[in-house]
Amino acid sequence: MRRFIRHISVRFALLLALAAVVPLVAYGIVSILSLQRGTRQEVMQGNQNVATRAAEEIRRYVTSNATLLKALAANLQDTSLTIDQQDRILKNYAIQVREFREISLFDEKGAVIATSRIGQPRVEIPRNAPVLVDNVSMSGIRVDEDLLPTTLFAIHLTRLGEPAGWLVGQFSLEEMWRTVDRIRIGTHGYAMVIAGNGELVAHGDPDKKALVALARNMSAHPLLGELRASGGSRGAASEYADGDGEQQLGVAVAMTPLDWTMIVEQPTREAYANAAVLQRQLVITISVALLLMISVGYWFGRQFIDPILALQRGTHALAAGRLEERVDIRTGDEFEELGGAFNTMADKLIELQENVKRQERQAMFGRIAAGLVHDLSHPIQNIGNSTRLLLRDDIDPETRDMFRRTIERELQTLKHFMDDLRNIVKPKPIERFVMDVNLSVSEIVESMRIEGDRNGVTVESRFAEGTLLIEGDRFALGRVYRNLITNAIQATEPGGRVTVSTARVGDLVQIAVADTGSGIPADRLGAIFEDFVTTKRRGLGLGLAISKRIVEQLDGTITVESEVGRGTTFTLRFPARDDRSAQAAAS
Amino acid sequence: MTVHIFPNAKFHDGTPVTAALVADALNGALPRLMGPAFDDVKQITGIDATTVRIDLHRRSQFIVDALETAVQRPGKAGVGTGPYVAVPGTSPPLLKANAEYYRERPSIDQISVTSYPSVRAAWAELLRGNLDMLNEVNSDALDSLQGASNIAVFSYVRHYQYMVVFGPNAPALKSPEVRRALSAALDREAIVREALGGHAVPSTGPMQSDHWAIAGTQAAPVQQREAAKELAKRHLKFTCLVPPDSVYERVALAVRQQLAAVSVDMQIVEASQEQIAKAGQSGEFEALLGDVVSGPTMFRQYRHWFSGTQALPKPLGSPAIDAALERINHAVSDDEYRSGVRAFLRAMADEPPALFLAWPERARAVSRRFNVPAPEKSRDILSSIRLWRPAAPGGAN
Repeated sequence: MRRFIRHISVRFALLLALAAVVPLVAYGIVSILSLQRGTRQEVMQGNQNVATRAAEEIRRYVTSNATLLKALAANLQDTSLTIDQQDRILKNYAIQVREFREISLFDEKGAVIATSRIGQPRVEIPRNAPVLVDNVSMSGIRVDEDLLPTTLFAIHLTRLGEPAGWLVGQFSLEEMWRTVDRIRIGTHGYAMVIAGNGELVAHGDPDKKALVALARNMSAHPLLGELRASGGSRGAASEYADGDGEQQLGVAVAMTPLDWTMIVEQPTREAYANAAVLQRQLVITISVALLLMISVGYWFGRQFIDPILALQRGTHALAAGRLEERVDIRTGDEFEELGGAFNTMADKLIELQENVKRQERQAMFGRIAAGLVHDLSHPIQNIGNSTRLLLRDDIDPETRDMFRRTIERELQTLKHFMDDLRNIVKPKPIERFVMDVNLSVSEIVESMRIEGDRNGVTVESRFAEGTLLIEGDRFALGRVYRNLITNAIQATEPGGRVTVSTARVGDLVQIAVADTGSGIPADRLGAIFEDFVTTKRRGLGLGLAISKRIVEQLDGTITVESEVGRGTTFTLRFPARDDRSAQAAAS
Repeated sequence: MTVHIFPNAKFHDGTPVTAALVADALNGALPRLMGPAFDDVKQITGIDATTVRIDLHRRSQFIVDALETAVQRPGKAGVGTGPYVAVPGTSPPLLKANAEYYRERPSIDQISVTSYPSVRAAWAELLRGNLDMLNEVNSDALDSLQGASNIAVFSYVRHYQYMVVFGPNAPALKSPEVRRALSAALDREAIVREALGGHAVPSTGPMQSDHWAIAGTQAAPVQQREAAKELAKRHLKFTCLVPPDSVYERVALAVRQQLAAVSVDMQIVEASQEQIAKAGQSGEFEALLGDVVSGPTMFRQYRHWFSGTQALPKPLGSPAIDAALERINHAVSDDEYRSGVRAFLRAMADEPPALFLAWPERARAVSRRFNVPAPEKSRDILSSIRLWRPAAPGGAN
């Protein structure tokens, strides 16, 4: 994680988030929460007002009908109407006032005097009615002959201060339904009226009228409990799931003195629809702003970070040796100046590199030229001297023969030299034969003893017993031995010793050439097998490079150990060939 | 006139409906249905397996209208050809789908028919979900059912109207002048408003005003003041039988109230449908309030008001009414038909056999558990009951 944060682009993004995005998101969340809370309070208050007005409307509706019945009672009592006249008045009243399904007049004993019905009255006197509306007794909710809820209004008549019968009206709650049906909030918000005993009296939702017909008791309605808990004076409001599982926002208002409760319900999805739209718009606006801000921030960030990344890429390219890489920064600010400086630096590096290469070429050319002079001058001089002496007449045949051998030897030396050069340009193909290392090494050692003697260096040999068979090229390996022994003789001061030994080490045949010379500094050991690298003051430095190439072509290895002032040991190792066929081939 | 029978039609008992059986059925049913108008029919015979020929003495308009009669297998009462078969001896009555119905077997397997003492009681049962269909939704219930998502209400023009039919033997109502005055004394719009909650069309006579033969004809102006003077002098008093239903009751009270205003004392007596039917059959009643079929054909008018028919209740006819109906029956052109209808209306206005009150809005309510094909204009949805389909998988009974 910390590594991830180390990236400047990540840090920049975090900075952008902290500085701009987080405050905007926080603002959005706070706004949405405020909107939700405010809307809920506003809608609830609005619905409460509707419920209050609706309750008042129903109360007035019921009260006005009670008053009408009272007026009818006034017409009937203390007047000298005949029974027929009373009957006609009741019947006319029932036509005019549809809110009463029946109005009947009883004497004090409960006998029928007159009725609005054509047949026998269906109502009876509701004695001890619990509610008094405008001095008219109102019974509790009961069901009529069709099992629909109804209520009775009753007025106790008096004549000259004495009880004189009852006027009873059956109140048509279906007529009241029309009033309740008109109370609507939105499209799906309806009102309902619940009686004091919990019985549903009216429901504005056409689909819920069945509940009224079924005389559904609503005592368990959550709002009734709340209303009771609040004492009924303030009303109640709540959100709850209705019988169908739909979330409703409901408000309840007590309808005094009817002992009824008005409840107005509205599905929350509709009640908060406007708020939901606003909320959605707010979320979209904030999201768009957020996206815009991130996009702009990203764009500006890229403008800022791109030059740094370009410089980083350029630096990596230079480090990888791609000096031709340049950065293209056109920001017109300090970054562009930095880019220009980077490119100038790269130009300078190329120039310096060219200079170094040129100097290296010059140094190498000098070294090669000096090597050529060194390696060629001595044999040529010997050939020249021997030739001049051969031309003299005063030399005996033995001496002449010595000069002739010298010339031949030096010519051989020149030939070897030329072969080395040719081998560098075009390596000679290796031919593998099974050979005895002891035999081939002893031949070379013997030939080199003279060279050692001439330099005052003793050349010794220690051979392993028996034969040491390998697959090799006798002539190519002869050159390797000769190179190593020559180098050892040259590196050893007179009186020193060069020891050539062979050994069998596991599956390998080992040949070691050790001297007691000056040794090679450790910092140069790694490069001594490269072309044109030499520790000698003169010479081309091709011998070890060619030797290494030959050894490796024969699946062998060549290693060197050296200690300055103590001497150097070169070790060759080749896979041993022990099978009989090899021995037969070697013999 | 020839009548063609669907070749694969069968009676409920599986017997093929043949021209001979149909001819027998018509010969049995039409004389009673048509009364004297059947005299125009010379003979009804099956001329091949699927063709019935009706030979007439003279042109008859009513024979065509009378063919609406239900064809039942002769000698087998109740064995018809419709999509449902009445199961004998079931109470409440049960109808089962007719698997042999010549079109296709109805989707609804069986229909249980339940009667209620009042439309309100039936409506309450529909609200409770105990009914799938309410055959008649009255004006009280119409408002509460409109807008319900689980009940579909289908309104249609039902050719019935509320009327107070005068008895043929009521001395107080013998005089045509009195009957004209009674008719003129009524404010039908007030009746519609007060008793029917506005869910009706005030009547202008025995026929609906949109009948093709009277379209554009203006109703005669009502002289209420003169009528009131005429009636006030007579101190008229008569009794009207009223079925036990709140709507009938309110209509009756409204009529009574209006007549009382012109010093007519219409006594209202609650009577069961059986009592009313009995009184109507005997003709021993002064007046009765009914909801009487009055269309769409003139044959209906003929059946009610022609003095020689076996109509219920027995009509208080007149020679002028009979003559007008005869003209209509034997009209040979549209103009003659219209002329006969005008004469009929004039005769009905001169000697009214009833107080025509209002054409109530009619509706049937069906639970949305069923998919009911959209009815044609002015058609009763019951005519397409064989096409009703249960809306939910699993079917419905």
